[in-house]
Amino acid sequence: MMTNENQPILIQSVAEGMLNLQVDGEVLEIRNELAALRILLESRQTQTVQYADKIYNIAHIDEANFGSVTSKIVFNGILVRRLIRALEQKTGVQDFLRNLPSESADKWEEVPAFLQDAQVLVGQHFVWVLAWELRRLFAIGKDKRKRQEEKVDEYIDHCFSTAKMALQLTNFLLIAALWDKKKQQEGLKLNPAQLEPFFGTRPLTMLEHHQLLTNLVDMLVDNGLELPFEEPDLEADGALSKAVVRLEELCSLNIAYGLAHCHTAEACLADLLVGLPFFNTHHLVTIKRVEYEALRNNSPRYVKDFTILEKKEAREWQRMLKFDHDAPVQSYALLFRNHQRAFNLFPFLMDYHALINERVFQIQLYECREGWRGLRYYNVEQECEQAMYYCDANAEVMEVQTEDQKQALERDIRCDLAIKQLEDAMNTLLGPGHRFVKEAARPSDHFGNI
Amino acid sequence: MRKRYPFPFLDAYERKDQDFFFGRDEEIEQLYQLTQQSNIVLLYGHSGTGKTSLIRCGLANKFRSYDWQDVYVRRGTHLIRSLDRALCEESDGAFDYEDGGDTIADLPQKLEAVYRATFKPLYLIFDQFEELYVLGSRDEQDAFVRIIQDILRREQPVKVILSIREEYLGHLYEFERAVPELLRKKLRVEPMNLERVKTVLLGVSNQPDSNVQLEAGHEAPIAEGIFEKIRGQDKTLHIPLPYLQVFLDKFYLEVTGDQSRQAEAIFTRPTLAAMGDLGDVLRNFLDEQATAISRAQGLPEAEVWRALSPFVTLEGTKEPLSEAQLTARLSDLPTGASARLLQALVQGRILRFSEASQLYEVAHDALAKQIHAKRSDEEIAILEVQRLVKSQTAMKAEAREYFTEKQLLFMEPYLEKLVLGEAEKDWIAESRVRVHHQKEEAQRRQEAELAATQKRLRLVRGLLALALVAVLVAGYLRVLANGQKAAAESATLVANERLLEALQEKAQRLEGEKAQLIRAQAVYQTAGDSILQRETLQTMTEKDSLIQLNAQNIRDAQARQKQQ
Repeated sequence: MMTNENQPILIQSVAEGMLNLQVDGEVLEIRNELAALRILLESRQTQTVQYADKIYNIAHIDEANFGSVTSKIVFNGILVRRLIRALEQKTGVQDFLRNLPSESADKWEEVPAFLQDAQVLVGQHFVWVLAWELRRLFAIGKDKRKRQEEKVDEYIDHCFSTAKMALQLTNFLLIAALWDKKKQQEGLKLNPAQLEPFFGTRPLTMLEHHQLLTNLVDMLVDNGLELPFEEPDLEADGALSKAVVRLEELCSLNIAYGLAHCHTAEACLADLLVGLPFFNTHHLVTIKRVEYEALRNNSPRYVKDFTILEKKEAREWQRMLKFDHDAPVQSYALLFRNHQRAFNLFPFLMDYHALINERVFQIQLYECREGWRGLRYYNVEQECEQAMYYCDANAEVMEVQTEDQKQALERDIRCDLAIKQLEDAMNTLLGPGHRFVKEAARPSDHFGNI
Repeated sequence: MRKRYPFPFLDAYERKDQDFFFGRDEEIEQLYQLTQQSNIVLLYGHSGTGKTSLIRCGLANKFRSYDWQDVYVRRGTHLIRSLDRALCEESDGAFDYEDGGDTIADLPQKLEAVYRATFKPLYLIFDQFEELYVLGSRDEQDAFVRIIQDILRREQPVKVILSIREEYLGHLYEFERAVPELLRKKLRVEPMNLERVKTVLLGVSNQPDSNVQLEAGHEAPIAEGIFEKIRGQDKTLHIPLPYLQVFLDKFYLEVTGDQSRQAEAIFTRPTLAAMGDLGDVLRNFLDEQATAISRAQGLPEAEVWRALSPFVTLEGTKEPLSEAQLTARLSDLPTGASARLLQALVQGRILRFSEASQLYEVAHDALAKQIHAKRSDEEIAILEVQRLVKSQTAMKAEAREYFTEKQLLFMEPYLEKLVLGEAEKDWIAESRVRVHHQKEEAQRRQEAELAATQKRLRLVRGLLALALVAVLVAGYLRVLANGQKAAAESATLVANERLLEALQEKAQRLEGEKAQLIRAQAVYQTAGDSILQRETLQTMTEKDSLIQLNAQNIRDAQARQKQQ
């Protein structure tokens, strides 16, 4: 059947994976992909396609701008819709969905006010690190002043970084669990070669993190250990694995990104976050300080000063003081917890400001070793890598003359503790013999040249 | 590539000026880290050190655009209303501004709306915060502190940055008591020294976008020469930024003569040397502009200065005014003259107009200081009167005090030259009536006091007369008593002499009787009559006692005689 050249193919509606088209009065459904549309147009020997009030020539459509042709929502729509669906069990989300007007129920993400409400809900239900990254994605998507190309690049970059952080956090949880178990049970069978990259001197790629995740899950399962969360679907053809592969492919493309790439990245990120549901059932707690009180003839008690990072029911970063007789997990810990269990992610995830006595938290993610001299961390808020070096600070009784001196000493000692913790994790999981050392002092520092 | 003029003159550097903003890297990093460590940060430094540029350009560019939603708030006519208006404007239509006085209705909801509009952490930046203490009332100051306390308790990521002139730090005492973390994270902005001036000029010169370059190979001497010319004879180690900016603009015009500032310029040593000794560049700039404007407007130069004066406080800081306020103050000028003057002053870059607040203000505090220095004693007196009237009438009726007679006398010669509101006029009139009543009351009280005093005087006189009579009587009686006393003493003397004679006779008699007894004793001894001997001895002992007693009486009588 030939189509009149003057009659473009009409896109009637766009669903997540499908396009509804009207061709010569006939309604067709094809996959929401450029290749599928091209095949259809070729078969109909036409060059133009119309969506809403705009007519596009297929010769001008490529992967980069395909998304803008087929969707009114350019940024955040797919991601937020998918995440809201994954959060359907939450009371606030249920209220949101129940209160949607029926005419908007299918396409609520196209209504700015509903999308905004949904974005707030998503931000409230994810652990702080991911919520902060999602907030960035929402902010980039909403920015009306930025040039489109710049916006696209930033958006895709943050889809990558959010996805990578999700995988990192998951691996931190599993590594921490394995470390603790190995300390308790000598007979665990581990494969150090599979764990070594995590303790290497370069940051892992997303694919490597995914591989590590698979290996860690296998190790725990093979040893009959309970996973800290419900086992995710890590099959190669599963949505999560495919999302990681597609994101990594997108990341390695050496082209100028377009809107279609944004859609791809957004959809992949949604797949990944939906595949790791424990990120919306837990929250992060930073233990800033633990004080010890003991009186004669009374059992001692601990004063735990901690902050819950997420804004949930109380909708604020809650600083709490808890007085109890149970010894704390650890000072300066960063806990990943729900109502039943808590996992200490220190030193892989840490609140650097807890180490330097600052009240506001600053979350950093472990990236890799900095040789044997220290560790490299990623500062989530500042979006930069920072190195922390082993100082071998003396923790014996010593005189301090000023408050600044005390602060500096405490900082050095605590940073050393973090590095020593990682050293212990390495020695436990990879086998003994790993040791961080202070960078050799130059001779002039010790008057060696005099 | 189209080149740009790199100097902002008296304006602050903005986010877009990042390529031309040099010499502040260390302070930008420090300020950035402080904002990461606390939800409230204080930036302070002297006027002309570049505080505003440090935030608007340096800090703003340190953040990624998706992590930085800045809301700049200047006091305008009222800080809380300005903040409220700014939040409403940033709320993406969720709120329309309505004057709420000293409170902000629905503050949490407004903050939430601003956050939802962008999903970026919100930075509330209160620039030139000293205006709250120079121009604001106590109520306004207290209300602002309460609002900041509220904001810091909010759940949204909201941070507060306050920028204040160093000399007003002391005013923050009450604020710090209410918000103890206020001064915990603070940064002092250092003034420009030679090294920084070099960094700025070399940076600008090396920037490909810049249409100003320093003569190749002589960058450092030119930078040093500029620094030397600006500091002049003072030989200070620092120079204020407005002076540098005005100088660089002058230098550019000297080289290119291009008022549109499009032409490319190369700053050379000979051109710099040819500029000669410039004296105070800022004062010269103001004088030149005032002369040019007065010529163009056909007004005496004094009128230009008179128009500028209300824009500066008594302390020499900026005071924003609307066109209507200035027109009212210059009511003697022809219709439309004040509006034309304002336009000319804006074009001359002395004043700046804010679209948001619809207010005009002096382009920089450094200019305000120069304008203040130009004022006559009378102008200063008028401003003092104006401030006095405003400060009294700004208070709530129950707390307001009437002007005293002394204040009214000081104000009287200048009242005609002031444009006062009805409330102010009423308060002055009421004060006059009150002072009049007070004076009448005082006179009445004085007269009553005079009458009472006279009455008291008469009473005192009567009492005095009585006292005199009493004194005379007492004197007479005293004389009389003295006579009687003398007679008594004379009689006593005679009696004493007689007693002495009697005692001496008695002594002789007792001595004679004792001698007789001694003799009788001898006889009884010879006769061997022991009984008589014993009796005689006893009698002699008694005589001795009598003799001694008598001798004592004689001594007493002699002593009395001697005394008399």
